[in-house]
Amino acid sequence: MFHATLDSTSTWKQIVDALATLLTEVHFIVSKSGIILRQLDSSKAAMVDLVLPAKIFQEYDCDGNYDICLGVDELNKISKRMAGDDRLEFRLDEDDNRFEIKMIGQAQRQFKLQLLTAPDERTKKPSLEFDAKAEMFADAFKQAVKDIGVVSSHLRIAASGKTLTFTGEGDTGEAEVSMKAAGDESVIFHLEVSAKPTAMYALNYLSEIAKAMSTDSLTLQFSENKPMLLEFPIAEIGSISFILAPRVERDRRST
Amino acid sequence: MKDKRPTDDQQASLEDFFGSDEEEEPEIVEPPQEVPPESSSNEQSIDENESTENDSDVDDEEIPPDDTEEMVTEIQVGERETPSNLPPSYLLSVDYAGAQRKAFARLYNPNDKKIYFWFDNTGHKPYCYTDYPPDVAETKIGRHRGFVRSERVELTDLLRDEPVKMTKIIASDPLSIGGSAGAIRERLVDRSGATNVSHAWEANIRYRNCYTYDTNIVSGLPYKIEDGNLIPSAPKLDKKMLDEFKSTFEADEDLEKIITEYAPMFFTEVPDIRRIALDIEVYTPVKNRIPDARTAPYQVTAIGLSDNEGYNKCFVLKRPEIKEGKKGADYPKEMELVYFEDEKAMLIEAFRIIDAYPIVLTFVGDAFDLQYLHNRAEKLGVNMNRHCPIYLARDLALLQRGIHVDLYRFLKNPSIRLYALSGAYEQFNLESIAKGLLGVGKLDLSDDISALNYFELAHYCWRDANLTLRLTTFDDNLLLRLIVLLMRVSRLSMEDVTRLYISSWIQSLFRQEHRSQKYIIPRRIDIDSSKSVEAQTEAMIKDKSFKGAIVIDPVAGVHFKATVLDFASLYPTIMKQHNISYETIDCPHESCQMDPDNRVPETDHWVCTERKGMISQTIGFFRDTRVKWFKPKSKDKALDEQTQEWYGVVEKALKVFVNAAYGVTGAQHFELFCMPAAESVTAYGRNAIIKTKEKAEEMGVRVLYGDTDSVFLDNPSEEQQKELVRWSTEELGIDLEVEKTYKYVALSDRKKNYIGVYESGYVEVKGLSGKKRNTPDFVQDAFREMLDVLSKVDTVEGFEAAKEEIREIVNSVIDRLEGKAEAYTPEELAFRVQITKRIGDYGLSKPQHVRAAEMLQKAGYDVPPGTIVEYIKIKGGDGLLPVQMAGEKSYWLDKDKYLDTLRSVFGQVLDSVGINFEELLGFTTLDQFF
Repeated sequence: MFHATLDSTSTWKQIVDALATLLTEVHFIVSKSGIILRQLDSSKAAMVDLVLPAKIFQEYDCDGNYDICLGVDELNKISKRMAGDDRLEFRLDEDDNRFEIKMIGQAQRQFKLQLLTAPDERTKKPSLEFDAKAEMFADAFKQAVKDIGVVSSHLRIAASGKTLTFTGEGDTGEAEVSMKAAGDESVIFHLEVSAKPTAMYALNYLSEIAKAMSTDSLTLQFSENKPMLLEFPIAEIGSISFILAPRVERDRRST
Repeated sequence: MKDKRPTDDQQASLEDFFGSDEEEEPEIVEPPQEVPPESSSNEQSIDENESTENDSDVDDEEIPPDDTEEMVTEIQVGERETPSNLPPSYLLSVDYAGAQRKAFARLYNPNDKKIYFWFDNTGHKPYCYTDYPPDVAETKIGRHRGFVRSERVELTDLLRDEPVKMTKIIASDPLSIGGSAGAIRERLVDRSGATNVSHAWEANIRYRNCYTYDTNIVSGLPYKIEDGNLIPSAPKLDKKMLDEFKSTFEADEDLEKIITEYAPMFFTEVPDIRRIALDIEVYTPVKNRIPDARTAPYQVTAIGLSDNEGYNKCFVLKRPEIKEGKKGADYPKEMELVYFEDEKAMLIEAFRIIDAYPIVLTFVGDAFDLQYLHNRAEKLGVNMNRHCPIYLARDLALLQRGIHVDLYRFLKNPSIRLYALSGAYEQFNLESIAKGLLGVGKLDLSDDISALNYFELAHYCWRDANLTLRLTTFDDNLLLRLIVLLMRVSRLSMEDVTRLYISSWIQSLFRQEHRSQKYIIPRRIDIDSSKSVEAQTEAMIKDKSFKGAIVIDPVAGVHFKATVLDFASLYPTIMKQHNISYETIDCPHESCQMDPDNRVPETDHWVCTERKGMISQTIGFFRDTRVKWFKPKSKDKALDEQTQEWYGVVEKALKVFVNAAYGVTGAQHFELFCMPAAESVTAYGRNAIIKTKEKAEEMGVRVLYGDTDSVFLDNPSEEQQKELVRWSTEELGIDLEVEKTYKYVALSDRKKNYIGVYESGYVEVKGLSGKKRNTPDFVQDAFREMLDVLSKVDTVEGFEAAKEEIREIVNSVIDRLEGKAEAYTPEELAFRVQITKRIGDYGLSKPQHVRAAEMLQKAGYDVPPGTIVEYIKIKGGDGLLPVQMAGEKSYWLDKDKYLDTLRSVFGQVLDSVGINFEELLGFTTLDQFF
């Protein structure tokens, strides 16, 4: 048995938008403690890791462990039907193999989505260590991604001392955005750096993720030529993270 | 995806209620007649540089129908030699002389190496048949000036397998039968009903062929003239050898007849016929523009001549602005340069020379060289009757005395290119063909052709003529001998056989067969109305009307030690084995229909056991004699070298016919096309593959892939291979052969797309675009390098090392694209696509190459149809730039577009060996880090 209610449709929409950037199917794992989702996109270049503790929900009842697998398109379409002040109610109908979403507002609307077959394996949580960690305004990150996108299809990020630098180069030119973690005006609240890591990531992923960001701040972590982790809070105690594989410089690669 | 109906099964389609108009049968008004196909008129404008882009994967079904328009030669043979006695001479052509109203033959006397003429003395006249009784027919024909008489004849109707009475309408000249307005065959049309119904048979056969068939003349064989009569005089065949030849076949009365007919063709050798090759150069004020041969506006500057007996000259016109220059490094010592002050005198001298030769060879002579010479001479006021041996017909240039062979047309023929010459060249220009067949190319020029000094011009021009000649002399006159053999088998004159395609050869062969047995030649409407025209099997490929070959889904991935077994000439064997011919499929005999053994798999068709099919028998004979005699004997060291070589030529000629047998007879436009026959052949073919797969699996051998006539087996043992071969011969009656064992084969999940690597390291690439001609050179080069790496892989683990090497290849390509290493030249980056129409004739949405052509035109370049447009892809503007204009402005290469091309070409191969192209570009996946 699983049943939960949520007062904020915007939180739900935020979640669905974020998932839709990378996935075509979502695989929620529902348990007593809350809902989690951890999935790679089809090219295995990116992962999304969602944590929704039970406390986010106003009501939350779950007596076991369930795999709820849904199509993202369908979920997205239903989310679009939600009104701002609706209260949401979720229920798993095990007998009919349906996931029910109720929108309770001026009218009571109910959608039932057929469950898809869950994959055999659950994606494990990766263990990663990072050389750099920055807490910053989400908007500053979004602008940087757009700036680099003018000339390049990939973004190089470097951290050194108190500075975070984004650069990009294309056939026609180069771009650079740098941010200092100093002073009250800084867009970076906090920067921790060991060594001087640099790494490069595909811009098309970053643009998609940036578009789906609806929080004010984010945490960015990366290491030299290793994956990057972008983390945003959801409803204060929940979080959603994206992990992105680096693009390795062709000619630097050992052969 | 061909069916675009709504995905919901419950949803009905309106088509279900209206009836689909897709398969609607066209109203047949008249039998297919001598309508000149549009295609032939285009050839006029095609130049030497035509690419093979559209022909890259020609299968025989797509060969256009040949032109069958009646044409009358206005030949002036008055002064030609017409001896009443002539020693054995080779008959090169049969033609019709308008003035004499007679058929005539050209004979080559090997003793004095001259052409002699013989005119018909049998009184043979043009005719056609009709099913109207004579009185009705004559009323219909009325007072036609060409009508001579009618007579009642009895022929056999093979479709009904019974005698049929026909009226033979005899005319004074071929044009009266068909080919002129109000001709007899037009008058034999019943226009009383809703649709016009023709009552004329055999009215669309050119008279020269009609004459050949009726007199049973075989072009290419020796004949002598005795007291004015033409008498076959093929050399006596060695009795012992002939007996041995016969003994390779099962004794059979019909076969005896066939052997007697074909043995002289196969065993009479071909002499080294005296011949000269000619090539001309013409002044042109516009660079790269080939002057219009129809108007011949500019001077002929050089005429190169080279014959097979050591005559080598180049006539060169003296022009005020041109210097003698220096002789090039390999300036030919054997060539004599002859200066002319006067162009007219030069042409007349060239005419005098070529008129003395039995055969004149050119490369594109029909559309250019001979046409230009003729029209130029006329323009200069040369007395044409007296001096010019050339006469022009539509798309043709012919000679009064000798035979003009345009090797461009012959070598463009897909049957010759692919089957006889094993695809030795891919483009139809002299350069590629000479490189492919002779291993030498044309002379590189230091300047524009119109500005060359005399020595270089003569060298260049003569070399072209000499290369043209050598195309017929290499491998001990292979091509000449092949031409003559094809003439014999197809019963066509040398002019025709070198210009027509396989469908016409086969058509001619069977017309002859009908005529000689007194069978009426059925018209398409006769076949269609006595057999079903609807296919019983459903096509799986768009635009095909019945079900074709089977492809077994590939097991994607790398397979070491895969062995390919294939059925040797599957379709011809099936035709022979199951007696499939237009008259023997769904035959009129009830006993055949009732016998369940005669049933064709997957269909309700049946085959005949009463009578031998004409097509199946002939093609079966060709197949058997090739496999049992000529092919093995051509490699038999016990025979003398000359015989071996000759057998090799016969083997090639037979291969052409056997390979095309199904392609032609199963093609809709073929005269004897029969739907039930065509779909029965493929049905038996599928049956053979399916049964073989079942058998292999029963034996515990995994089938990795299969296509049409082959199966790929996963590492079968010797015994298993032998067992399958034995089983096939016994159970299917078809020879299965072990074709090859790959070191490994990498199958992609798409059909007809794989690479196979042999133990020797040779890599076979199937269906992948890295080999396509319009792929830019740098991609092709990189692709070859990649194959080279893959060819060295010996184990599954070996792919890891290969991956790093391939990464290096890709890296260096991208570095060069990015300008980090030596940049590619525009030529290396060029996409090459031919424009086939005038630029204005393309619609509003113009493909890239047409837009590039437009840019060229605006910049003042001449871009006629047939031009291969070369362009590079750039950023901004139109996204492309013609190579010629790349030097004039600066641009950014569109690297992403080039990467896309590289990706699509490499991806196809790499996927199947488990390498991700994106990873080579530096993209990583998360699983590498966890």
